Amino acid sequence: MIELEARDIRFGYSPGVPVIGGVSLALERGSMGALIGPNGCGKSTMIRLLAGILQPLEGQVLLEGLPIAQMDSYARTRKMAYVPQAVARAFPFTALEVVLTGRSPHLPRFAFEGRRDVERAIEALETAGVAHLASRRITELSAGERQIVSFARALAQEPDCLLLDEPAASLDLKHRATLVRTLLRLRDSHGLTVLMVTHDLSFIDPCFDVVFGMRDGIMVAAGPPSDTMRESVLAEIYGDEHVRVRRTDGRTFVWSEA
Amino acid sequence: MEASLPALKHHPIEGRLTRSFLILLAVLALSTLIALWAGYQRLDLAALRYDEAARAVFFRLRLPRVVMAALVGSTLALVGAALQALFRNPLADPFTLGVSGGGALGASIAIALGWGIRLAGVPVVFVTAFAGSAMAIFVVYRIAGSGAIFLPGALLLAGVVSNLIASAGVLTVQYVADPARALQILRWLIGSLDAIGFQIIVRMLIFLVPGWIALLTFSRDLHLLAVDEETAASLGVNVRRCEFMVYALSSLLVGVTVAVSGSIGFVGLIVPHMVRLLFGQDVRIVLPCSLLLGAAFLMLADAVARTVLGQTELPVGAVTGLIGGPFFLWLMRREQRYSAI
Repeated sequence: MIELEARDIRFGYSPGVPVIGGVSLALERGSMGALIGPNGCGKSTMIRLLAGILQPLEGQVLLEGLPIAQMDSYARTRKMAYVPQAVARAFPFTALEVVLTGRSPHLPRFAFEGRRDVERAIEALETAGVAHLASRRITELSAGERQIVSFARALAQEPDCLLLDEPAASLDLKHRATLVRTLLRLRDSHGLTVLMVTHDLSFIDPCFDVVFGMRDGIMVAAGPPSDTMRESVLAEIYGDEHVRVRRTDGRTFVWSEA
Repeated sequence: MEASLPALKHHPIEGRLTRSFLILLAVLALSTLIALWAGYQRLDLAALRYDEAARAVFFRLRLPRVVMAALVGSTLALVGAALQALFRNPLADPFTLGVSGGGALGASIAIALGWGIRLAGVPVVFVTAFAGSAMAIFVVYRIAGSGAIFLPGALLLAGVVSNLIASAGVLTVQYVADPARALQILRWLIGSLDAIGFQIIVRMLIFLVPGWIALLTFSRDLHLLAVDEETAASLGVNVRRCEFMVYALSSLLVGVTVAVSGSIGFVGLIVPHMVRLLFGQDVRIVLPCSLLLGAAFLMLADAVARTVLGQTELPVGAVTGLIGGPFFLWLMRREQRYSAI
Protein backbone atom coordinates (compact mmCIF):
# COMPACT_ATOMS: atom_id res chain seq x y z
CA MET A 1 0.00 0.00 0.00
CA ILE A 2 1.20 3.47 -0.86
CA GLU A 3 1.54 5.66 2.26
CA LEU A 4 2.73 8.89 0.70
CA GLU A 5 2.41 9.98 -2.88
CA ALA A 6 3.17 13.11 -4.87
CA ARG A 7 1.54 13.59 -8.25
CA ASP A 8 3.19 15.92 -10.70
CA ILE A 9 4.03 18.66 -8.18
CA ARG A 10 4.95 22.08 -9.49
CA PHE A 11 6.07 24.89 -7.25
CA GLY A 12 7.98 28.17 -7.20
CA TYR A 13 8.50 30.79 -4.48
CA SER A 14 8.11 33.68 -6.92
CA PRO A 15 6.26 33.70 -10.24
CA GLY A 16 8.29 32.66 -13.25
CA VAL A 17 10.99 30.95 -11.16
CA PRO A 18 10.04 27.28 -10.89
CA VAL A 19 11.76 25.39 -8.09
CA ILE A 20 9.91 22.12 -8.51
CA GLY A 21 9.05 21.32 -12.10
CA GLY A 22 6.70 18.38 -12.04
CA VAL A 23 7.82 15.80 -9.49
CA SER A 24 6.03 12.56 -8.71
CA LEU A 25 6.99 9.97 -6.14
CA ALA A 26 5.38 7.16 -4.23
CA LEU A 27 6.49 5.64 -0.97
CA GLU A 28 5.26 2.26 0.26
CA ARG A 29 3.99 2.00 3.82
CA GLY A 30 6.71 0.83 6.15
CA SER A 31 9.58 1.73 3.88
CA MET A 32 12.55 4.03 4.28
CA GLY A 33 13.15 6.47 1.46
CA ALA A 34 16.09 8.78 0.91
CA LEU A 35 15.76 12.00 -1.08
CA ILE A 36 19.15 12.99 -2.46
CA GLY A 37 20.50 15.57 -4.84
CA PRO A 38 22.92 18.49 -5.12
CA ASN A 39 22.55 21.71 -3.10
CA GLY A 40 19.69 23.86 -4.27
CA CYS A 41 18.02 21.13 -6.35
CA GLY A 42 14.72 21.54 -4.48
CA LYS A 43 14.92 18.67 -1.97
CA SER A 44 13.97 20.77 1.04
CA THR A 45 11.21 22.50 -0.89
CA MET A 46 9.91 19.13 -2.00
CA ILE A 47 9.82 17.72 1.51
CA ARG A 48 8.04 20.86 2.77
CA LEU A 49 5.45 20.39 0.06
CA LEU A 50 5.01 16.78 1.12
CA ALA A 51 4.69 17.86 4.77
CA GLY A 52 1.93 20.32 3.85
CA ILE A 53 3.95 23.35 4.97
CA LEU A 54 3.99 24.68 1.42
CA GLN A 55 1.13 24.30 -1.03
CA PRO A 56 1.96 23.20 -4.57
CA LEU A 57 0.94 25.42 -7.46
CA GLU A 58 -0.03 22.33 -9.41
CA GLY A 59 -0.36 18.67 -8.59
CA GLN A 60 -1.23 17.12 -5.26
CA VAL A 61 0.14 15.26 -2.29
CA LEU A 62 -1.74 12.19 -1.08
CA LEU A 63 -1.41 10.66 2.36
CA GLU A 64 -2.91 7.17 2.55
CA GLY A 65 -4.70 7.92 -0.68
CA LEU A 66 -6.29 11.19 0.50
CA PRO A 67 -5.19 14.59 -0.83
CA ILE A 68 -3.67 16.47 2.12
CA ALA A 69 -5.00 19.77 0.78
CA GLN A 70 -8.50 18.54 1.58
CA MET A 71 -7.61 17.01 4.94
CA ASP A 72 -8.20 18.78 8.23
CA SER A 73 -4.76 20.04 9.24
CA TYR A 74 -4.89 18.26 12.60
CA ALA A 75 -5.96 14.99 10.98
CA ARG A 76 -2.92 15.35 8.74
CA THR A 77 -0.54 16.10 11.59
CA ARG A 78 -1.72 13.12 13.61
CA LYS A 79 -0.47 10.91 10.77
CA MET A 80 2.51 12.81 9.48
CA ALA A 81 5.39 14.52 11.28
CA TYR A 82 8.21 16.64 9.95
CA VAL A 83 11.66 17.37 11.32
CA PRO A 84 13.08 20.64 9.97
CA GLN A 85 16.74 21.23 9.21
CA ALA A 86 17.22 23.50 12.19
CA VAL A 87 15.10 24.59 15.12
CA ALA A 88 14.83 28.15 16.40
CA ARG A 89 15.93 28.96 19.91
CA ALA A 90 14.47 32.35 20.65
CA PHE A 91 13.14 31.44 24.08
CA PRO A 92 14.72 29.14 26.65
CA PHE A 93 12.10 26.39 26.48
CA THR A 94 13.15 23.10 28.05
CA ALA A 95 13.69 20.13 25.75
CA LEU A 96 10.65 18.49 27.35
CA GLU A 97 8.50 21.53 26.54
CA VAL A 98 9.65 21.36 22.93
CA VAL A 99 8.87 17.65 22.71
CA LEU A 100 5.45 18.23 24.29
CA THR A 101 4.48 20.50 21.40
CA GLY A 102 4.44 17.29 19.38
CA ARG A 103 1.37 16.27 21.35
CA SER A 104 -0.69 19.22 20.17
CA PRO A 105 -2.35 17.43 17.21
CA HIS A 106 -3.76 14.95 19.72
CA LEU A 107 -5.21 17.57 22.05
CA PRO A 108 -8.19 19.91 21.82
CA ARG A 109 -7.27 23.50 21.06
CA PHE A 110 -7.49 24.83 24.60
CA ALA A 111 -6.28 21.79 26.50
CA PHE A 112 -2.94 21.52 28.22
CA GLU A 113 -0.87 18.35 28.03
CA GLY A 114 -1.84 15.86 30.71
CA ARG A 115 0.14 13.22 32.53
CA ARG A 116 -0.16 10.76 29.63
CA ASP A 117 1.21 13.30 27.20
CA VAL A 118 4.17 13.98 29.46
CA GLU A 119 4.80 10.23 29.59
CA ARG A 120 4.64 9.98 25.82
CA ALA A 121 7.03 12.89 25.48
CA ILE A 122 9.52 11.30 27.85
CA GLU A 123 9.22 8.00 25.97
CA ALA A 124 9.97 9.87 22.75
CA LEU A 125 13.04 11.45 24.35
CA GLU A 126 14.14 7.99 25.48
CA THR A 127 13.59 6.50 22.02
CA ALA A 128 15.66 9.27 20.48
CA GLY A 129 18.30 8.65 23.13
CA VAL A 130 18.22 12.11 24.71
CA ALA A 131 16.19 11.55 27.87
CA HIS A 132 19.03 13.10 29.85
CA LEU A 133 18.37 16.43 28.12
CA ALA A 134 14.69 16.61 29.20
CA SER A 135 15.02 19.50 31.62
CA ARG A 136 17.83 21.31 29.78
CA ARG A 137 17.04 24.55 27.98
CA ILE A 138 17.24 24.37 24.20
CA THR A 139 19.11 27.66 24.15
CA GLU A 140 21.97 25.86 25.89
CA LEU A 141 22.04 22.80 23.66
CA SER A 142 24.35 22.24 20.71
CA ALA A 143 22.95 22.24 17.18
CA GLY A 144 23.18 18.44 17.06
CA GLU A 145 21.41 18.02 20.39
CA ARG A 146 18.64 20.37 19.23
CA GLN A 147 18.23 18.26 16.10
CA ILE A 148 17.76 15.12 18.16
CA VAL A 149 15.27 16.92 20.43
CA SER A 150 13.39 17.99 17.33
CA PHE A 151 13.39 14.35 16.20
CA ALA A 152 12.00 13.35 19.60
CA ARG A 153 9.28 15.99 19.18
CA ALA A 154 8.28 14.36 15.88
CA LEU A 155 8.20 10.94 17.55
CA ALA A 156 5.94 12.31 20.32
CA GLN A 157 3.50 13.12 17.55
CA GLU A 158 3.15 9.34 17.01
CA PRO A 159 3.14 9.62 13.24
CA ASP A 160 2.67 6.88 10.65
CA CYS A 161 4.81 8.82 8.25
CA LEU A 162 7.92 10.79 9.17
CA LEU A 163 9.61 13.36 6.95
CA LEU A 164 13.09 14.55 7.89
CA ASP A 165 15.12 17.33 6.31
CA GLU A 166 18.81 16.55 6.79
CA PRO A 167 18.30 15.42 10.38
CA ALA A 168 21.88 14.26 10.62
CA ALA A 169 23.53 17.42 9.33
CA SER A 170 24.93 18.44 12.73
CA LEU A 171 25.25 14.94 14.15
CA ASP A 172 28.46 13.09 14.84
CA LEU A 173 29.16 9.62 13.50
CA LYS A 174 27.73 7.79 16.47
CA HIS A 175 24.51 9.82 16.63
CA ARG A 176 23.96 9.50 12.88
CA ALA A 177 24.06 5.74 13.23
CA THR A 178 21.80 5.88 16.28
CA LEU A 179 19.26 7.96 14.36
CA VAL A 180 19.19 5.55 11.42
CA ARG A 181 18.99 2.57 13.79
CA THR A 182 16.02 4.16 15.59
CA LEU A 183 14.25 4.78 12.30
CA LEU A 184 14.87 1.19 11.16
CA ARG A 185 13.51 -0.14 14.44
CA LEU A 186 10.37 1.99 14.18
CA ARG A 187 9.92 0.93 10.57
CA ASP A 188 10.05 -2.72 11.57
CA SER A 189 8.04 -2.49 14.79
CA HIS A 190 5.40 0.14 13.92
CA GLY A 191 5.45 0.11 10.13
CA LEU A 192 6.70 3.70 10.14
CA THR A 193 7.17 5.22 6.71
CA VAL A 194 10.21 7.46 6.46
CA LEU A 195 11.42 9.95 3.88
CA MET A 196 14.71 11.63 4.66
CA VAL A 197 16.55 14.34 2.80
CA THR A 198 20.22 13.54 3.16
CA HIS A 199 23.67 14.31 1.87
CA ASP A 200 25.13 11.38 3.76
CA LEU A 201 25.13 8.49 1.28
CA SER A 202 26.95 6.06 3.57
CA PHE A 203 23.78 4.64 5.18
CA ILE A 204 21.65 4.32 2.08
CA ASP A 205 22.73 0.81 1.15
CA PRO A 206 21.73 -1.37 3.04
CA CYS A 207 19.51 0.71 5.38
CA PHE A 208 17.14 2.42 2.95
CA ASP A 209 14.55 0.73 0.75
CA VAL A 210 14.26 3.33 -1.96
CA VAL A 211 16.22 6.34 -3.23
CA PHE A 212 14.85 9.39 -5.02
CA GLY A 213 17.41 11.52 -6.82
CA MET A 214 16.58 15.10 -7.74
CA ARG A 215 18.37 17.59 -9.91
CA ASP A 216 17.24 21.10 -10.91
CA GLY A 217 13.75 20.60 -9.53
CA ILE A 218 12.96 17.35 -11.30
CA MET A 219 13.27 13.70 -10.36
CA VAL A 220 16.10 12.12 -12.32
CA ALA A 221 16.29 8.74 -10.59
CA ALA A 222 14.08 6.59 -8.37
CA GLY A 223 14.47 3.02 -7.26
CA PRO A 224 16.07 0.67 -4.75
CA PRO A 225 19.68 1.35 -3.75
CA SER A 226 20.86 -1.52 -5.96
CA ASP A 227 19.65 0.44 -9.02
CA THR A 228 20.44 3.97 -7.90
CA MET A 229 23.69 3.68 -5.98
CA ARG A 230 25.68 3.35 -9.21
CA GLU A 231 28.39 5.59 -10.54
CA SER A 232 26.48 6.49 -13.71
CA VAL A 233 23.25 7.31 -11.85
CA LEU A 234 24.93 9.33 -9.10
CA ALA A 235 27.06 11.17 -11.65
CA GLU A 236 23.82 12.17 -13.37
CA ILE A 237 22.12 13.25 -10.11
CA TYR A 238 25.03 15.31 -8.80
CA GLY A 239 26.36 16.40 -12.20
CA ASP A 240 29.76 15.13 -11.10
CA GLU A 241 31.82 12.65 -13.10
CA HIS A 242 34.21 12.15 -10.16
CA VAL A 243 31.68 10.07 -8.20
CA ARG A 244 33.02 6.64 -7.25
CA VAL A 245 31.07 3.70 -5.84
CA ARG A 246 32.47 0.55 -4.20
CA ARG A 247 30.60 -2.36 -2.67
CA THR A 248 32.25 -4.25 0.18
CA ASP A 249 30.91 -6.20 3.17
CA GLY A 250 27.32 -5.77 1.97
CA ARG A 251 27.53 -1.96 2.02
CA THR A 252 27.92 0.59 -0.67
CA PHE A 253 30.54 3.30 -0.24
CA VAL A 254 30.23 6.49 -2.23
CA TRP A 255 32.70 9.32 -2.52
CA SER A 256 33.77 11.93 -4.99
CA GLU A 257 37.37 11.96 -6.16
CA ALA A 258 39.02 15.18 -5.03
CA MET B 1 21.91 15.42 36.65
CA GLU B 2 19.02 17.87 36.87
CA ALA B 3 15.43 16.96 37.70
CA SER B 4 15.14 13.21 37.30
CA LEU B 5 12.72 11.66 34.82
CA PRO B 6 10.29 10.23 37.40
CA ALA B 7 10.11 13.70 38.95
CA LEU B 8 9.26 15.21 35.58
CA LYS B 9 6.49 12.66 35.06
CA HIS B 10 4.78 13.94 38.19
CA HIS B 11 4.92 17.49 36.99
CA PRO B 12 1.81 17.93 34.86
CA ILE B 13 1.25 21.21 33.12
CA GLU B 14 -2.50 21.25 33.53
CA GLY B 15 -2.65 22.91 36.93
CA ARG B 16 -0.03 25.53 36.17
CA LEU B 17 -2.30 28.06 34.51
CA THR B 18 -4.82 27.97 37.33
CA ARG B 19 -2.12 28.30 39.95
CA SER B 20 -0.36 31.22 38.30
CA PHE B 21 -3.69 32.85 37.58
CA LEU B 22 -4.74 32.71 41.24
CA ILE B 23 -1.43 34.16 42.38
CA LEU B 24 -1.74 37.00 39.90
CA LEU B 25 -5.35 37.68 40.87
CA ALA B 26 -4.12 38.25 44.41
CA VAL B 27 -1.38 40.55 43.10
CA LEU B 28 -3.95 42.39 41.03
CA ALA B 29 -6.29 42.87 43.98
CA LEU B 30 -3.46 44.18 46.13
CA SER B 31 -2.25 46.56 43.41
CA THR B 32 -5.78 47.86 42.93
CA LEU B 33 -6.04 48.69 46.61
CA ILE B 34 -2.65 50.41 46.61
CA ALA B 35 -3.46 52.36 43.45
CA LEU B 36 -6.81 53.48 44.84
CA TRP B 37 -5.25 54.48 48.13
CA ALA B 38 -2.21 56.31 46.81
CA GLY B 39 -2.41 59.86 45.53
CA TYR B 40 -1.81 63.45 46.49
CA GLN B 41 -4.64 62.93 48.93
CA ARG B 42 -4.55 59.51 50.50
CA LEU B 43 -7.77 57.61 50.42
CA ASP B 44 -9.68 58.08 53.62
CA LEU B 45 -12.62 55.76 54.03
CA ALA B 46 -14.30 57.90 56.65
CA ALA B 47 -14.07 61.01 54.48
CA LEU B 48 -15.41 59.03 51.57
CA ARG B 49 -18.55 58.34 53.54
CA TYR B 50 -19.24 61.88 54.78
CA ASP B 51 -17.37 64.27 52.54
CA GLU B 52 -19.13 65.04 49.26
CA ALA B 53 -15.99 66.57 47.69
CA ALA B 54 -13.76 63.63 48.65
CA ARG B 55 -16.30 61.27 47.19
CA ALA B 56 -16.39 63.24 43.94
CA VAL B 57 -12.59 63.18 43.69
CA PHE B 58 -12.49 59.48 44.34
CA PHE B 59 -15.30 58.33 42.03
CA ARG B 60 -14.86 60.84 39.21
CA LEU B 61 -11.10 61.11 39.11
CA ARG B 62 -9.21 58.40 40.89
CA LEU B 63 -11.36 55.34 40.25
CA PRO B 64 -11.69 55.84 36.48
CA ARG B 65 -8.00 56.59 36.28
CA VAL B 66 -7.05 53.39 38.08
CA VAL B 67 -9.42 51.42 35.86
CA MET B 68 -7.91 53.07 32.81
CA ALA B 69 -4.40 52.19 33.97
CA ALA B 70 -5.48 48.59 34.40
CA LEU B 71 -7.03 48.41 30.93
CA VAL B 72 -4.11 50.04 29.15
CA GLY B 73 -1.52 48.04 31.09
CA SER B 74 -3.18 44.71 30.49
CA THR B 75 -3.67 45.41 26.81
CA LEU B 76 -0.11 46.53 26.17
CA ALA B 77 1.30 43.58 28.10
CA LEU B 78 -0.90 41.07 26.30
CA VAL B 79 -0.01 42.48 22.89
CA GLY B 80 3.68 42.55 23.83
CA ALA B 81 3.58 38.89 24.85
CA ALA B 82 1.79 37.94 21.63
CA LEU B 83 4.20 39.88 19.40
CA GLN B 84 7.22 38.41 21.18
CA ALA B 85 5.95 34.92 20.51
CA LEU B 86 4.95 35.70 16.94
CA PHE B 87 8.30 37.22 16.03
CA ARG B 88 10.25 34.84 18.26
CA ASN B 89 11.96 37.92 19.58
CA PRO B 90 12.02 38.73 23.30
CA LEU B 91 12.68 42.40 22.50
CA ALA B 92 9.45 42.86 20.54
CA ASP B 93 6.81 45.11 22.07
CA PRO B 94 4.21 47.55 20.70
CA PHE B 95 6.62 50.37 21.44
CA THR B 96 9.86 48.92 20.04
CA LEU B 97 8.13 47.64 16.90
CA GLY B 98 6.74 51.08 16.14
CA VAL B 99 3.11 50.05 16.56
CA SER B 100 2.56 52.61 19.30
CA GLY B 101 4.32 55.26 17.22
CA GLY B 102 2.08 54.59 14.24
CA GLY B 103 -0.96 54.75 16.49
CA ALA B 104 0.28 58.03 17.95
CA LEU B 105 0.60 59.57 14.50
CA GLY B 106 -2.90 58.43 13.59
CA ALA B 107 -4.32 59.71 16.85
CA SER B 108 -2.56 63.08 16.67
CA ILE B 109 -4.09 63.69 13.25
CA ALA B 110 -7.52 63.06 14.74
CA ILE B 111 -6.81 65.33 17.71
CA ALA B 112 -5.58 68.09 15.40
CA LEU B 113 -8.92 67.86 13.63
CA GLY B 114 -10.81 67.95 16.92
CA TRP B 115 -10.92 65.43 19.76
CA GLY B 116 -14.62 64.82 19.96
CA ILE B 117 -15.43 63.84 16.38
CA ARG B 118 -17.33 60.59 15.99
CA LEU B 119 -18.05 58.41 13.04
CA ALA B 120 -21.15 56.27 13.51
CA GLY B 121 -20.64 56.49 17.28
CA VAL B 122 -17.00 55.42 17.15
CA PRO B 123 -14.54 58.16 18.12
CA VAL B 124 -12.49 59.05 15.05
CA VAL B 125 -9.36 59.04 17.17
CA PHE B 126 -9.84 55.27 17.69
CA VAL B 127 -10.12 54.70 13.97
CA THR B 128 -7.09 56.76 12.98
CA ALA B 129 -4.96 55.34 15.80
CA PHE B 130 -5.92 51.84 14.71
CA ALA B 131 -5.09 52.68 11.10
CA GLY B 132 -1.72 54.14 12.17
CA SER B 133 -0.85 51.07 14.23
CA ALA B 134 -1.90 48.72 11.46
CA MET B 135 0.17 50.66 8.95
CA ALA B 136 3.25 50.59 11.20
CA ILE B 137 3.01 46.87 11.87
CA PHE B 138 2.51 46.16 8.18
CA VAL B 139 5.51 48.23 7.12
CA VAL B 140 7.77 46.81 9.82
CA TYR B 141 6.76 43.29 8.98
CA ARG B 142 7.17 43.73 5.25
CA ILE B 143 10.62 45.18 5.61
CA ALA B 144 11.94 42.83 8.27
CA GLY B 145 10.26 39.73 6.90
CA SER B 146 10.89 40.27 3.21
CA GLY B 147 12.98 37.10 3.16
CA ALA B 148 12.00 33.66 4.31
CA ILE B 149 13.91 34.24 7.53
CA PHE B 150 13.40 36.94 10.12
CA LEU B 151 16.51 38.78 11.11
CA PRO B 152 15.88 39.92 14.67
CA GLY B 153 18.08 42.95 14.11
CA ALA B 154 16.15 43.95 11.00
CA LEU B 155 12.88 43.75 12.89
CA LEU B 156 13.94 46.11 15.66
CA LEU B 157 15.69 48.43 13.26
CA ALA B 158 12.59 48.67 11.09
CA GLY B 159 10.61 49.36 14.28
CA VAL B 160 12.96 52.14 15.32
CA VAL B 161 12.85 53.75 11.89
CA SER B 162 9.09 53.57 11.66
CA ASN B 163 8.94 55.12 15.14
CA LEU B 164 11.15 57.97 13.97
CA ILE B 165 9.03 58.55 10.89
CA ALA B 166 5.89 58.51 13.01
CA SER B 167 7.27 60.99 15.53
CA ALA B 168 8.40 63.26 12.71
CA GLY B 169 4.85 63.02 11.43
CA VAL B 170 3.47 63.87 14.85
CA LEU B 171 5.75 66.91 15.07
CA THR B 172 4.54 68.08 11.69
CA VAL B 173 0.92 67.65 12.70
CA GLN B 174 1.59 69.53 15.93
CA TYR B 175 3.30 72.33 14.04
CA VAL B 176 0.46 72.91 11.62
CA ALA B 177 -2.35 72.35 14.13
CA ASP B 178 -3.77 75.35 15.98
CA PRO B 179 -1.94 76.08 19.27
CA ALA B 180 -4.63 74.87 21.66
CA ARG B 181 -4.88 71.54 19.93
CA ALA B 182 -1.12 71.26 19.61
CA LEU B 183 -0.95 71.50 23.38
CA GLN B 184 -3.59 68.80 23.65
CA ILE B 185 -1.49 66.58 21.43
CA LEU B 186 1.62 67.21 23.48
CA ARG B 187 -0.06 66.38 26.79
CA TRP B 188 -1.60 63.25 25.41
CA LEU B 189 1.59 62.15 23.63
CA ILE B 190 3.75 61.75 26.72
CA GLY B 191 1.39 59.07 27.83
CA SER B 192 -0.95 60.02 30.56
CA LEU B 193 -3.93 58.37 32.12
CA ASP B 194 -5.68 61.60 33.00
CA ALA B 195 -9.22 60.78 33.96
CA ILE B 196 -11.46 60.98 30.97
CA GLY B 197 -14.41 59.49 32.79
CA PHE B 198 -16.29 56.26 32.65
CA GLN B 199 -17.93 56.94 29.31
CA ILE B 200 -14.71 56.53 27.40
CA ILE B 201 -13.82 53.47 29.48
CA VAL B 202 -17.03 51.76 28.44
CA ARG B 203 -16.33 52.65 24.85
CA MET B 204 -12.81 51.18 25.14
CA LEU B 205 -14.11 48.00 26.70
CA ILE B 206 -16.32 47.36 23.69
CA PHE B 207 -13.15 47.02 21.62
CA LEU B 208 -10.72 45.69 24.18
CA VAL B 209 -12.58 42.74 25.66
CA PRO B 210 -13.38 41.04 22.33
CA GLY B 211 -9.83 41.85 21.20
CA TRP B 212 -8.32 40.22 24.28
CA ILE B 213 -10.45 37.14 23.91
CA ALA B 214 -9.72 36.82 20.21
CA LEU B 215 -5.99 37.19 20.82
CA LEU B 216 -6.08 34.62 23.63
CA THR B 217 -7.67 32.07 21.31
CA PHE B 218 -4.37 32.08 19.42
CA SER B 219 -2.45 31.06 22.56
CA ARG B 220 -1.60 27.58 21.34
CA ASP B 221 -0.67 28.67 17.82
CA LEU B 222 1.57 31.35 19.32
CA HIS B 223 3.12 28.84 21.69
CA LEU B 224 4.00 26.54 18.79
CA LEU B 225 5.28 29.50 16.77
CA ALA B 226 7.45 30.65 19.67
CA VAL B 227 9.14 27.26 19.66
CA ASP B 228 9.76 27.18 15.91
CA GLU B 229 7.88 28.48 12.89
CA GLU B 230 8.51 25.54 10.57
CA THR B 231 7.69 23.03 13.25
CA ALA B 232 4.50 24.95 14.04
CA ALA B 233 3.51 24.81 10.38
CA SER B 234 4.17 21.09 10.34
CA LEU B 235 1.98 20.75 13.45
CA GLY B 236 -0.97 22.21 11.58
CA VAL B 237 -0.70 25.90 12.48
CA ASN B 238 -1.83 28.10 9.63
CA VAL B 239 1.10 30.47 10.03
CA ARG B 240 -0.02 33.16 7.58
CA ARG B 241 -3.52 33.33 9.01
CA CYS B 242 -2.23 33.40 12.58
CA GLU B 243 0.21 36.18 11.69
CA PHE B 244 -2.48 38.21 10.01
CA MET B 245 -4.92 37.83 12.88
CA VAL B 246 -2.34 38.69 15.53
CA TYR B 247 -1.32 41.79 13.56
CA ALA B 248 -4.89 42.91 13.08
CA LEU B 249 -5.82 42.33 16.72
CA SER B 250 -2.61 43.93 18.00
CA SER B 251 -3.18 47.02 15.86
CA LEU B 252 -6.77 47.28 17.07
CA LEU B 253 -5.85 46.85 20.73
CA VAL B 254 -2.82 49.14 20.64
CA GLY B 255 -4.68 51.68 18.51
CA VAL B 256 -7.49 51.96 21.05
CA THR B 257 -5.15 52.29 24.04
CA VAL B 258 -2.88 54.77 22.27
CA ALA B 259 -5.91 56.82 21.28
CA VAL B 260 -6.87 57.40 24.90
CA SER B 261 -3.57 57.29 26.74
CA GLY B 262 -0.82 58.20 24.31
CA SER B 263 2.08 55.86 23.78
CA ILE B 264 3.13 54.42 27.10
CA GLY B 265 6.36 52.60 26.47
CA PHE B 266 7.89 49.32 27.57
CA VAL B 267 4.91 47.88 29.48
CA GLY B 268 4.57 45.28 26.74
CA LEU B 269 8.22 44.44 27.09
CA ILE B 270 8.72 44.25 30.84
CA VAL B 271 5.55 42.50 31.89
CA PRO B 272 5.82 39.37 29.68
CA HIS B 273 9.40 39.00 30.87
CA MET B 274 8.34 39.18 34.48
CA VAL B 275 5.70 36.56 33.77
CA ARG B 276 8.24 34.27 32.11
CA LEU B 277 10.61 34.64 35.03
CA LEU B 278 7.80 33.80 37.45
CA PHE B 279 5.87 31.11 35.61
CA GLY B 280 8.04 29.78 32.77
CA GLN B 281 8.11 30.04 29.01
CA ASP B 282 4.82 28.40 28.01
CA VAL B 283 3.08 31.04 25.87
CA ARG B 284 -0.34 29.62 26.77
CA ILE B 285 0.44 30.69 30.33
CA VAL B 286 2.41 33.83 29.47
CA LEU B 287 -0.45 35.43 27.50
CA PRO B 288 -3.25 35.37 30.10
CA CYS B 289 -0.82 36.06 32.94
CA SER B 290 0.59 39.09 31.11
CA LEU B 291 -2.94 40.44 30.91
CA LEU B 292 -3.30 40.34 34.72
CA LEU B 293 0.22 41.42 35.59
CA GLY B 294 0.10 44.22 33.01
CA ALA B 295 -2.93 45.68 34.77
CA ALA B 296 -1.23 45.49 38.15
CA PHE B 297 2.02 46.91 36.78
CA LEU B 298 0.55 50.00 35.17
CA MET B 299 -1.75 50.73 38.11
CA LEU B 300 1.31 50.78 40.36
CA ALA B 301 3.42 52.77 37.89
CA ASP B 302 0.62 55.30 37.70
CA ALA B 303 0.39 55.42 41.49
CA VAL B 304 4.09 56.26 41.51
CA ALA B 305 3.57 58.90 38.82
CA ARG B 306 0.81 60.51 40.87
CA THR B 307 2.68 60.59 44.16
CA VAL B 308 6.42 60.71 43.66
CA LEU B 309 6.66 64.47 43.04
CA GLY B 310 4.16 65.46 45.72
CA GLN B 311 1.73 67.95 44.31
CA THR B 312 2.84 67.88 40.68
CA GLU B 313 2.15 64.81 38.70
CA LEU B 314 4.55 62.93 36.44
CA PRO B 315 3.23 61.47 33.17
CA VAL B 316 3.01 57.69 33.59
CA GLY B 317 4.83 57.26 30.26
CA ALA B 318 7.86 58.89 31.87
CA VAL B 319 7.76 56.41 34.75
CA THR B 320 7.48 53.33 32.54
CA GLY B 321 10.14 54.76 30.21
CA LEU B 322 12.54 55.35 33.07
CA ILE B 323 12.05 51.78 34.28
CA GLY B 324 11.69 50.21 30.86
CA GLY B 325 14.55 51.81 28.95
CA PRO B 326 17.33 50.50 31.18
CA PHE B 327 15.52 47.17 31.40
CA PHE B 328 15.47 46.96 27.60
CA LEU B 329 19.19 47.66 27.41
CA TRP B 330 19.90 45.02 30.00
CA LEU B 331 17.83 42.49 28.05
CA MET B 332 19.58 43.40 24.84
CA ARG B 333 22.94 42.77 26.42
CA ARG B 334 21.73 39.36 27.56
CA GLU B 335 20.38 38.54 24.09
CA GLN B 336 23.69 39.57 22.55
CA ARG B 337 25.42 37.11 24.76
CA TYR B 338 22.95 34.37 23.79
CA SER B 339 23.28 34.92 20.08
CA ALA B 340 27.05 35.02 20.31
CA ILE B 341 27.05 31.32 21.19
